[in-house]
Amino acid sequence: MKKQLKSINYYRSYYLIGSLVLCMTMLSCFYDKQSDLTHNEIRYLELETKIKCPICPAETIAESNTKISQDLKDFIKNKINDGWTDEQIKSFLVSKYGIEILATPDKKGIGLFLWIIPIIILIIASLTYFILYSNIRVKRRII
Amino acid sequence: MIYGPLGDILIKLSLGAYIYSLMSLFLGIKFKDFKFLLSSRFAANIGFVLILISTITLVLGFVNHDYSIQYVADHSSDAMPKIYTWIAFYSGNEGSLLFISTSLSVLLYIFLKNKNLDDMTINYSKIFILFFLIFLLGTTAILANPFNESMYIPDDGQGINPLLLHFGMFIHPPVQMIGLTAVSIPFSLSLGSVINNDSDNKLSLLRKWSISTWMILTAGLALGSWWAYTILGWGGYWAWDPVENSSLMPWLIMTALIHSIIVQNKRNMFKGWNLFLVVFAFFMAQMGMFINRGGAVPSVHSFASSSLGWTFLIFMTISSFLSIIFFMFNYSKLNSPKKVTSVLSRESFILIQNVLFLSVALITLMGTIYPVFTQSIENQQIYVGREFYDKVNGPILLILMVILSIAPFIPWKNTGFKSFIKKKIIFILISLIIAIINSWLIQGHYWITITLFIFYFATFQFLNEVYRIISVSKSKKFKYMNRIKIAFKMIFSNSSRYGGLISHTGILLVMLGIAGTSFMGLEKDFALQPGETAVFKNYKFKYVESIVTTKSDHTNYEAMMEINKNGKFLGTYSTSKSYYPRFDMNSTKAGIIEFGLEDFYFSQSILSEDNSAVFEVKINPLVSLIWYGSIVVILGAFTSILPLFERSRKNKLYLRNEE
Amino acid sequence: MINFIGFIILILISLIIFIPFNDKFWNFYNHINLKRDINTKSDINKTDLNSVTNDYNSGLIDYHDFKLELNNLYPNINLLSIDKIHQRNNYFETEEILLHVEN
Repeated sequence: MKKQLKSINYYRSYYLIGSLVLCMTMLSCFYDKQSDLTHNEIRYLELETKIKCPICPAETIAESNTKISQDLKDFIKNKINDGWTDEQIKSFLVSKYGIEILATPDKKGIGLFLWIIPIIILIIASLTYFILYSNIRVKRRII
Repeated sequence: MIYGPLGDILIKLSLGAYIYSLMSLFLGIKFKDFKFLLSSRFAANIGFVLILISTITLVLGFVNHDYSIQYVADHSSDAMPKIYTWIAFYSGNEGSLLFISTSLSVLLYIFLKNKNLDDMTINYSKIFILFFLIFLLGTTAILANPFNESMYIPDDGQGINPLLLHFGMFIHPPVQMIGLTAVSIPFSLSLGSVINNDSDNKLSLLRKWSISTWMILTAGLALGSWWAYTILGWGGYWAWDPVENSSLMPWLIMTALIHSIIVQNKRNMFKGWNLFLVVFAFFMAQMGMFINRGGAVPSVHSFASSSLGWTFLIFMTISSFLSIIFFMFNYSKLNSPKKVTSVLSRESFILIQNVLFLSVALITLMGTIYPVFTQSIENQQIYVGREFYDKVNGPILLILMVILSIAPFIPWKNTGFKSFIKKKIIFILISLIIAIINSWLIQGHYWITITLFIFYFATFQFLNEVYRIISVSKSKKFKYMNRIKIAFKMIFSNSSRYGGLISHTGILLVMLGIAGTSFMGLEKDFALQPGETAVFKNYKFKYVESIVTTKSDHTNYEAMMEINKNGKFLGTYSTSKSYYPRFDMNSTKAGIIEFGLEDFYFSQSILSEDNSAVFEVKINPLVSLIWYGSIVVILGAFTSILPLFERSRKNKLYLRNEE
Repeated sequence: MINFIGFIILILISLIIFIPFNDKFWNFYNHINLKRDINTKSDINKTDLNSVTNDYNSGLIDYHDFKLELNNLYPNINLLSIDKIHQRNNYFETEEILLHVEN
């Protein structure tokens, strides 16, 4: 192992890594996710998982099999074909059913705080790391 | 029949035995008297036997269709398959509480087995376990007794929820429940050892119990996701449903714990941090029970929902409050003399891993209970779905995977950045090249390439170490025998490390499976007439016919499908859907055909009168890696706690009474 | 009938529970209980040596660093004998190393 290591010029290998990463990005450009589906179908599949079935306990319309979610699926399909944007469809459904139709709330209004929480938690986590890293000691209490 | 009253008496007697055991334990500790301690242990064993018989009584009540018991009448029927009557007893609230109590008493029995009476750490830990057990058993016996007799005896029972009539029912719920209760054992053990100032000596025991608990929780999660995958309507293998989250959170914290215990073991650091983690894991496990029972958050898993949530909430609040007080009072005992000296050292990486796992757990907790907040503050019902968790937890989990590929292969204390790069560059290069070639071969998404890179990077370092072990002996004489002997010796002397590495490989396999399904999965709906053919990617399938069978409690619609892949006929497969009028519920079994690592997944969603049907077809590449990977993870975890019972020698240990 | 069974079980429980309070029982108990001593003690004094040896055995630090670490931990260690082990084997055990620490 050591002999092998010595024979490599490390600075050149950085170039090699760089070119390989470039290869990877190239590959990713060539890869087309759902080549068998049209753009609208992909949009439909994504929207489907973002709308909740109004009568089920915790299922999206993609998972649910009820009549109403079937109707909603058809509605979304039709509206996508009519040329509505995702936002339009969502806001229409929200105005009709209320905010609980969304499987996940948007980053505004009542759902804003939800999206802030992770940032707060990550800040606390990094603070915890530094506190434990430097190992701040509490003075021994004399009992 | 006899089952109801007998079980009722047994469960109450068992509760009494455990309460006596606790009181006698207190007296024994107070007066340092072995009479009381032994009496307490006898009482605990009796309680264990009684509650076991009580559970068996309930099972017999189910098998013999004893509808004079209210619970049996509510959760079984004559029409249900015979084999499911053996396990139907944990399908509802009362029975599952009984099951939880029984499993905890079994764990207590195992915990106390072969332990010395004068081992005060064990005695202190027993106090905590007994408190929890008495709480569970008391709730079962008084508030939710499964043996309550019904007002009148019905001819036929209500029947079980049709979603539960699945093979997964035999393994997933018991494993999950045992896992959640087992968290209380490491909790009690570390509290007990802190009280007795004995945490150094009990560390290996704590490690074994924590890893076993973690193993059970892992198995529960893997089985649950496999079950959810085979039944439509549960959103694939993982849906970030509140109940699923509540079982994930203790798992995450236990993962952090079993890693930071290593630091305590090898470097004698993080004592307080470990105690905090174990307390937090216990809190999370109770949170899981509360979410499961209380019905505070809407979920698809609400089989055991009841009005008992408040008891769990009260117990959780009290126990976490007391734990915090305990933590504060014992903080001075928990200082470690050593420090983390370098960022690029194993203890530092384990610390990063710990805080990241904690943050994932906290984010998941917040997402799960956020709807409760909005409901109570603004009176607005909202839901937090997978979009939130995917976007927030996904990147953190990816960082954790990167850490996983680095951390086990850097030394303790510190290492220089240059020497680190020098050592790792060849692995980085080789794994990058192979990952790109592999990804190109399977036409992978770029996230697959990244995951493959992490996977190969970790695996090559692991293999390098194995190579080193084999080539460790330099002697020329008896070369091969000596080498093999030393290799075995090395692996078994350090089974914790190699078991851990095997587990890590398994985790990376699971990761590959998740990446494959989420980035390369295809999905489309097809409306087909009988005899019609459709093409999806390289699959060609023909809907042959639909068979309808009617049974006493349900109607079953089975659709047959002929499947070709790449022009090769693979056979006829079926997907079925059953309608249960009594519950007004459909249970759909998907047709899943495994080709290598790729799954062809189809299920019928709508069936019209003229037998035409809408099929939901999915192609899930690499999905089976999730299940195989989980098996590897569990095997690795098991290896790491070998030998289960450490070598012992016979001697007289029980102190003689007052001699 | 059921109450009778319950009563009998209750008596049985109390009999078993109160056995330990009989002195004669303890003679018998000590006689039969040659219980196994489960050695759960992990030697906390050796944690540093353990981790260093493990790291070396796993190939994470090279021999030079390993010797330096050993020298830091035990200033009066006989490094020549460690070298001898190294010539024979690439693998160290903690007990083996501790043998060469000169007091």
